[in-house]
Parts: sequence; C-alpha cells; structure tokens
Amino acid sequence: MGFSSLKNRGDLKQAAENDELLIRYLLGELSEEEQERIEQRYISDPEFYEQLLTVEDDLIDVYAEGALSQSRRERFEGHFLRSPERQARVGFAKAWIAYVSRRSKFARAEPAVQKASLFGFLRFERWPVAVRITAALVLLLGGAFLVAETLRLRSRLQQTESQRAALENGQQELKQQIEAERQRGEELLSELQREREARDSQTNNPDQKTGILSFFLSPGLVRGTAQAKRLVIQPETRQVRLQVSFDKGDYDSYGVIIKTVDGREIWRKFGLRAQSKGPGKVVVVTVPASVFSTEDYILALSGFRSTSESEGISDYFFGASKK
Amino acid sequence: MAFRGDIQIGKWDLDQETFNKLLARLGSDPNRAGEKYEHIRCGLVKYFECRGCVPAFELADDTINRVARKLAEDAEIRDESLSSYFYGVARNVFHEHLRSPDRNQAHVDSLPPHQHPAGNPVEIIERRDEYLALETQLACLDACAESLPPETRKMILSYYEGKQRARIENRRRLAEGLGVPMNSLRIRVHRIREKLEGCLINCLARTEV
Repeated sequence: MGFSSLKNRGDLKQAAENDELLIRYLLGELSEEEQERIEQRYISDPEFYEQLLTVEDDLIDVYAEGALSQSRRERFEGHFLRSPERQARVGFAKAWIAYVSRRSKFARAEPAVQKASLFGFLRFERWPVAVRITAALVLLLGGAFLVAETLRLRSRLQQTESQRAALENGQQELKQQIEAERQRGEELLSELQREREARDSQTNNPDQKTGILSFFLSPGLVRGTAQAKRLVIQPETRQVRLQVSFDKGDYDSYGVIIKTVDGREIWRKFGLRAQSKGPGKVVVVTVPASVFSTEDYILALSGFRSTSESEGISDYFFGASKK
Repeated sequence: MAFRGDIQIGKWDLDQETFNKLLARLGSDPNRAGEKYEHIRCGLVKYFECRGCVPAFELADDTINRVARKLAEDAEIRDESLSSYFYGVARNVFHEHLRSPDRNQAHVDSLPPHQHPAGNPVEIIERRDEYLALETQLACLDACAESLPPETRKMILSYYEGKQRARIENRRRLAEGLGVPMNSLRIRVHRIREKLEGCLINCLARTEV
C-alpha cells in the first residue's frame, strides 16, 4: 500500500489517492493488512487522524447528497452506517446540505431578500433591546422636532403671505400714484402748451406761409393789468386765430362777440363748437385781421342750449397793436 | 484538563491512581499527556466504529482500562511502542466483541435505515413527521449558523457552495484566499461542523422540551 505522509499533501494527485484509500477503509473495502496499517497510523498520528475525519466528512456529505455510486452506497449503508453516532452524523449532514441549498436558492431567487440579508443590521428585530429603545427615543425626538419645525414654517409662510399682500397693496397704491402723476404731468404739459401758445401770441409771429396769427385767451385776464395780453398784428397777418379757453359750463353751441372797451361791437360769430383740451374746453374762432386796429378789446363768450337760452360764460380783455 | 475519576467499564475498574499512571506514561507535561490521551481515545473510538462495533466508545474505554491496568502492574511497555500497544489491545477487545453472544442483538434504533424492520409503525409516524422535523432542524441550523462569528460563517457557507467540479474549484480558491493548504481548510471546516452538530443537538433538545 503506497500511503504517503500528510506533509506531502501539496501533491494533489497523491492527496486524492490518500483520500481514496481512506474512503475504502471507511467503507470496509480494504484487506485486513491494509486496515491495520491505517489504524495503527491514525492512532499514533494526530495529523493523520484529522485527515481521516475530513475524509469521513466528505464521504458523509456525498452520501447525504445522494451522489454515491450504487455499490458504494450499499457499502456505506451496510458497513459505515452501523453505528448510531454515524447515523446521527449523516442526519446532520443531510440537514446541513438542505440548509445551505435552501439558503443559496433563497439568495438566488430573491435578490431583495439577499439584499435584506446583506443589510441585516437594518432589521429592527435583530437589534439589541438597548439599541431598540435608543432608536425609538431618537425617532420620537425626531418626530417632535419635525412637528415643531412644521409649525414654525407654517407660521413663517403666513407671515410671508401677509407681507406679499401688503406689497401688492403698496404696488396698487404706487400704480395709483403713478397714474395721478401721469395725469398731473399731462396737465402740466397742457398748461405748458397753453403758456407756449400765449407766449407765441405775445410775440405775435404769424405763420409765414398762411399769414394766420394764433392768439390764446384765458379767463380771468383783467383790463389794465400787466397780465392783459396784447395782440400785435403784423402787416402780413391776414387772420387772427383766437383760442378762447374756459373751465365751466357745457353747452350745445357757443357765441363770440368782440367789442371795443367803449362798447362798439366790431365782430361776432355764433354756432361755434367747443373742444376739450386738458381739464377745460376751448372755442376756436378765426377773425379777419382787418377788423382790429390799435386799441383795447373785450371778447364776450356766451353759451347756448337747445332751448335758445344763453348764458355769458366769461369776458376776455386783450389789446391789439397794428403795425 | 479535567478527567474522570473512577471508571467502571468492562471487567476492570479504573481508579484515579491507575489513571494518573497512564497519563504519566503518556507524557511528563500533564496538559500534553491529556491531549495525547484524548487523541488515543478518539482514535480507538474511530477504530471500533470503523470495525462496525456498537457502542464504539464503550469498547474504546475498555481498551484504555486494560492498557492502564497493565501499566499499573508495571508491565514492560516501551514509550515508543505505546500507541502500538493500545492498538494491539484494541484488536483483542475487538475479537472478543466478535465472539460475544450479545453483539448481534443491536437495538433497532442503532440499525441503519435499510435494516429497520419492514412495516414498522413507528417509521410510518416518523415519515409523517419528517417534514416538520426537517423544518425544525433547518430553523435550528439557521440559529446555529448565525451564532458563529461572521467570518467563520462566511467561510463554511462558501465551503459548501456549488456542485461537483465547481465546488472543488471554489474550495481551492477559498484555501488560497485564506492562505492555508487545502487540508488545513478541511480540518477547520470539520471543527466548525462539530460545533454546528453540537449546537443542533442542543437546539433540538430544547425544541423537544
């Protein structure tokens, strides 16, 4: 029998031969002489005894898995399996193989379960009691903090909503202010326009092409004051365009009478229409320049309704100088 | 290491003094001698087991008692041949066992499954309960495996992964990964199996209670 030392088990072929020899021994397949040599060896050599145990484990596993050949299975059951201890070991091997197989199948079939196993520390029921209690307290405190934080955020949201509403109101007021300022600007622009026209009329520069002199008359001009306007009629002026402004009254038509200050009427016209201009109205009338001479005049503006009733609206003083 | 006191197995009594003499012959260091004693006893149990003797441990203890008595009687046995002397006594015990009139009257529970009497009503009940028993065993094994240190559990589960050639290759890689010869790995696994087996027996006992 060529049985080599365990120390030479680096030789796999020899190791396999040794294992096979021990398997034959365990199955009672060796001669009496071969058996005795092995028995003497493992009783005196602990290392060899351990090798026998590992071979025995392997043999039991192969039987438990049903992988033994027919003849060896019979030898195993008829010889090896006589002692209750060995039967118990086979029972263990069958259970262990079933356990490993089920565990392996379970891991393959359900990766999620495997994942749970990998992260088994997350399974609450596996935690020690002290850790569970600590975890519960942490969750409780965390929950309380979240509730408090939610309430705080809700309050802050309400404040933000109020601020937003106030801002919207402020914006509305600003819009109104802007609109008022715009209207005020238009008024100022209109006034500026009137002032410019008045100034133009004072300078009495008629349009060179048409020979029409534009003259602006505002209410409230008083005779003999510095504010009284003077119409300077140049030789090329053929017509004077009078723009008579007034603030109050709304009539169907208007009439203009121009008189000298001593009451002599020099020109009149009725059936005139008023135009809106800024906050007030204007009646425009074109008067031949020839009717004027160098002296003071009074323009009387009257309003007429459909009932033929008439009302004096205002008188306007101005002077004329003919060049 | 603690050892039994008076032992009465077979035809002779083994008292503490005789047992101490036996240990003294096995080595001057008590611990080393104890380890050697345990190894010889395990080897003898294995011997009787492999020879198909039931119960093997009783015959092993009978062998030890006989050797110890011879040593107490100052028989001339050389230290280097002590193991062979144990083996020689064991062979005698074995042959006596073969001639024993009681040796074929094995209890039915000690017989392998195929030698059980046909139509055993107990077996029928056992088959019915087999499934439940297996589930109990698996639950116990799960608990036992979980009780192992993680690295140990990983190692033994890896050791049993795969089938046939794949399993052999897997074990070779495992041994390489651990930096140990294959035989060392097998011995490690054997020891873990022993622990698991003991754990399983205890667990099943608790379950039955």
